[in-house]
Amino acid sequence: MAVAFDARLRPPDDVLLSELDGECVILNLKTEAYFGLDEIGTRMWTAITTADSVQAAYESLRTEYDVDPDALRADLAEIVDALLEHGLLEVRR
Amino acid sequence: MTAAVTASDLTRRLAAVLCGDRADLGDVGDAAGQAQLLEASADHAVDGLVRRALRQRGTWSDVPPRIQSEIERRVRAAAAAEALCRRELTRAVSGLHAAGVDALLLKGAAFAHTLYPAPYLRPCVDTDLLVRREDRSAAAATLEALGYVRRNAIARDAVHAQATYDRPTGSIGAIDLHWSISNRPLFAETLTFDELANEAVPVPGLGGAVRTPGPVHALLLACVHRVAHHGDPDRLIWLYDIKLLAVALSPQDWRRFASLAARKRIAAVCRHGLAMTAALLGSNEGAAAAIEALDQLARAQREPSAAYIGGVGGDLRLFALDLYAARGPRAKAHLVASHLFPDVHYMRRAFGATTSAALAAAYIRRAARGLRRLVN
Repeated sequence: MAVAFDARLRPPDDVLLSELDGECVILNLKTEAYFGLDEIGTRMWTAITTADSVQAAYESLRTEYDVDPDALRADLAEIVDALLEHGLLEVRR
Repeated sequence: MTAAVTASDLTRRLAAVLCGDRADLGDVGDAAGQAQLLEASADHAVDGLVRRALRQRGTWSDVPPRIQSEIERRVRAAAAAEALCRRELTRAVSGLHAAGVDALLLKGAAFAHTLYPAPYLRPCVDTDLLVRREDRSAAAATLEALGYVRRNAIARDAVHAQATYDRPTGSIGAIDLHWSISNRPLFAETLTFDELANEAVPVPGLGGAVRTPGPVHALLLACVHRVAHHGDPDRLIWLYDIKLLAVALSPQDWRRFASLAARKRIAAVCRHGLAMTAALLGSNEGAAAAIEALDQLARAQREPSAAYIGGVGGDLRLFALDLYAARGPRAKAHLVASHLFPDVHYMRRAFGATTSAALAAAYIRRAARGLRRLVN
């Protein structure tokens, strides 16, 4: 993963979110590119952007989803990397 | 779906899905039929509503994959556009507020936040703001200071009581600045800014500065808008606006609505909008009673606005109605002159006229083109 699991991540000011029946669309105002997240992706987004760290988000999601912990960790790392790559999240101290 | 399926058939099918009369899209046939349905859904701006209705019924997964994926794509785009429009309108209204300009949010951008279960279900690519006539210069200056660029259009009040301002990076999120509720002289003073502002309500979720006309006025405007500006089409998103507005009115609101429609001489137009909505999307008790009341009120008086019901049938007749409605010989002469001689700034940009001779030629060319269009 591009950042450590103890990183605190938040969306930059030029990123907007629009809700869509449990899913969401995230718009990068700088590039005007938008990305859709399904229900699970949306839940991950919410967890990541409200928790104090990616690790805390992971632990919160583990209590919600009955899945293999390593698979969840890998999925979370993948989505974080994608969101960071497209400028939809940034590290906040 | 066979080639015999008409636009009306598709409209009725989509309407039936929206009002719950059918739980699925039915047989959409081959690729051509699917393309027809997709086109109809886009034209009616109901992609999000159809998707939502079918998901709630549990039949969305039965929709052909091609239709599903295209509507999903369009709905995501609509959600992204909504986020952008939302940011632009709060930015514009905050700027106008700071400049001492009072503004009201109109039409789809307002309904997205006041009527619909989620804003993305009411697609809009621009934001309509109404200001007082005397504030239009200050409003224009404010928008330009915020980085908006005025779109080239005729800047004569008699022709356009509005101007469109684009964001520098694209047209989604454009601001349509109005200083009258209508470009049509007949409807321009139906409701003034101050009448609307006196009963305006805050728009939830957009900060306290954003206000929109109250429910009675909003319904009057929705009924007028589709006949005055768009030739009275059966476009489902506009009728769905009317349906949702109608649901929100109390019995006291309905009495006020009917009384105001009669006083403003738009009872027939309002009756027609409600009746068309009822025919396609169903009705409630209040709306049904209002249709009857408005029918009687419209019959009891002369209403020039009724001429717009069913569409006016061409530019020449539209111009004739505008000329008839313009009050007094000066206003009529001003209307004719505005059509014949648009402002120089518009002409220079529209025709690329950089010299006086080129400008004169452009006016002549434009007049000839306009005459050919009117005659045809």
